[in-house]
Amino acid sequence: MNLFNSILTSIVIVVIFWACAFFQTSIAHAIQHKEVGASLELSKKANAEKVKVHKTALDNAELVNESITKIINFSGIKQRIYLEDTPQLWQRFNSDTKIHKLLKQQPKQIFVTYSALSKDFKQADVAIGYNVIELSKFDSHHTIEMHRLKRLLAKGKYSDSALTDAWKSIDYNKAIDYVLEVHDLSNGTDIESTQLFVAYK
Amino acid sequence: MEFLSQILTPDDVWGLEAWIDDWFFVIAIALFLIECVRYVIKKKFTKDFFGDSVANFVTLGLFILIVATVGATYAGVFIFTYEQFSLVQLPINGWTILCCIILADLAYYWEHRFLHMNGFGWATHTVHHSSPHFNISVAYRHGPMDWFFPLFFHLPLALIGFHPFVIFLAEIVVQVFQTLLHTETVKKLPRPIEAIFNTPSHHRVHHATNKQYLDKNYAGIFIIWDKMFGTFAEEKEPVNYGIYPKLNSVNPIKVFFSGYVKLCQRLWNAPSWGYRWNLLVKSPTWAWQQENK
Ligand SMILES: [Zn+2]
Repeated sequence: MNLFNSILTSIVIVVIFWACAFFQTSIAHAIQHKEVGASLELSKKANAEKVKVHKTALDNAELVNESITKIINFSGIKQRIYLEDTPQLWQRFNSDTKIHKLLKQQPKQIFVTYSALSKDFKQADVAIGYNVIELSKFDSHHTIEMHRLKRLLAKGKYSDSALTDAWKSIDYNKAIDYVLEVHDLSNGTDIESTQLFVAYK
Repeated sequence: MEFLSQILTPDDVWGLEAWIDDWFFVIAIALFLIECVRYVIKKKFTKDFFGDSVANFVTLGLFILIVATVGATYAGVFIFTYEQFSLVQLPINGWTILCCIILADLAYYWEHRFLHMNGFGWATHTVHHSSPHFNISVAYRHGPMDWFFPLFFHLPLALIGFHPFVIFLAEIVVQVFQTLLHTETVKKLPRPIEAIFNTPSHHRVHHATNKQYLDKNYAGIFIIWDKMFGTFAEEKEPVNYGIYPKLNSVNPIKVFFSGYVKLCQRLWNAPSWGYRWNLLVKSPTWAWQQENK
């Protein structure tokens, strides 16, 4: 092969293995869910429900801190995952000694954002972290602009399924920037109450 | 296969990389001692071999000093590129690491071929090739800028979404595999292995001065790249190791800077500016041929 063709071939190889890495979870999940054709029906139903719910959600949603621009930066871990793998990421976060060593004090809140949601709402970049003012040092961080948030759930104690259900009140006709969970902590570890927000683009 | 999908943190990957880096050196030293014993038995443990091996470890020391000063910047460039410009952010797990190793190996092939194809790259890579011996210690014989060129060939991996720590891990895996190839102790491995993987036999060819072996077998892990791109040669006649012109020195400082000294001498003595340009962009074989016309 001459040099030009060799380079061209190399580029093709890069694309192939990049695609393998990029679509790995889709491939794995496609194999896993193959037999569950019914799940598709279910998600269709859920979508229809979402559309129904969003109208009422719009009425209920309140604009948070409309007048004040407040910015919160948080830092921790971030990973592109299937939403159903979120517990795994939490486990990672809880066992991440590096970030916990950087805490200056008992943390008051944990922030979780779900951004860059895939079209089927199954995948997202999920970030979990602490407010940077509670950390002695941090590398990268994520910014939350409070004035852009619409509240989906008021402060309270919610089960996992209640939190998931609240996603139904998101207006899926709008482009979602991210969904935010704010967990208030007691003793620095136990989740006392949670709030849920959404930011549209 | 489940464990390959397990999500890892960048810290896990970093830890794994550091672990391989440290322990592999211990293993390499042990293998080198075995090689030494073998040379003693074969009555090939000469003064020159000893001096050459010492020089190899001194160049390694010098190289580590340089890497210690530029390492953070090197890593910083990757992290900055990844965070600012990466196309996507690939999940960090076993599958991604496997894909990254294959692509890092391809990047290694091109970087290595690049180093052999122009005077600029050869000035640093010649150090690794200038030993007339072939053993594990030669694998650690580095030139002053050996850390520099990989940057350009591996940075695209960060652009397409591989986490920098995953890239560094892949680079280490390729490096470790490559290191193990520097031995005369292993003759030929089973045919399927020789067909797919780079082996001591294939890599001996790469270090040869025999005409039919020049500029061949650039591979890191997979010899497939060389076979695909037409740079493969099979080891048939015995290999003479080294470079043109011969270095004839075991002085570590001389060895370490030999490439740049030679390049400067050639540039200084060049008959024209066109010739100087060619010295930088053409293969070192070209320069050698000009001098022996
Ligand atoms: Zn080489």
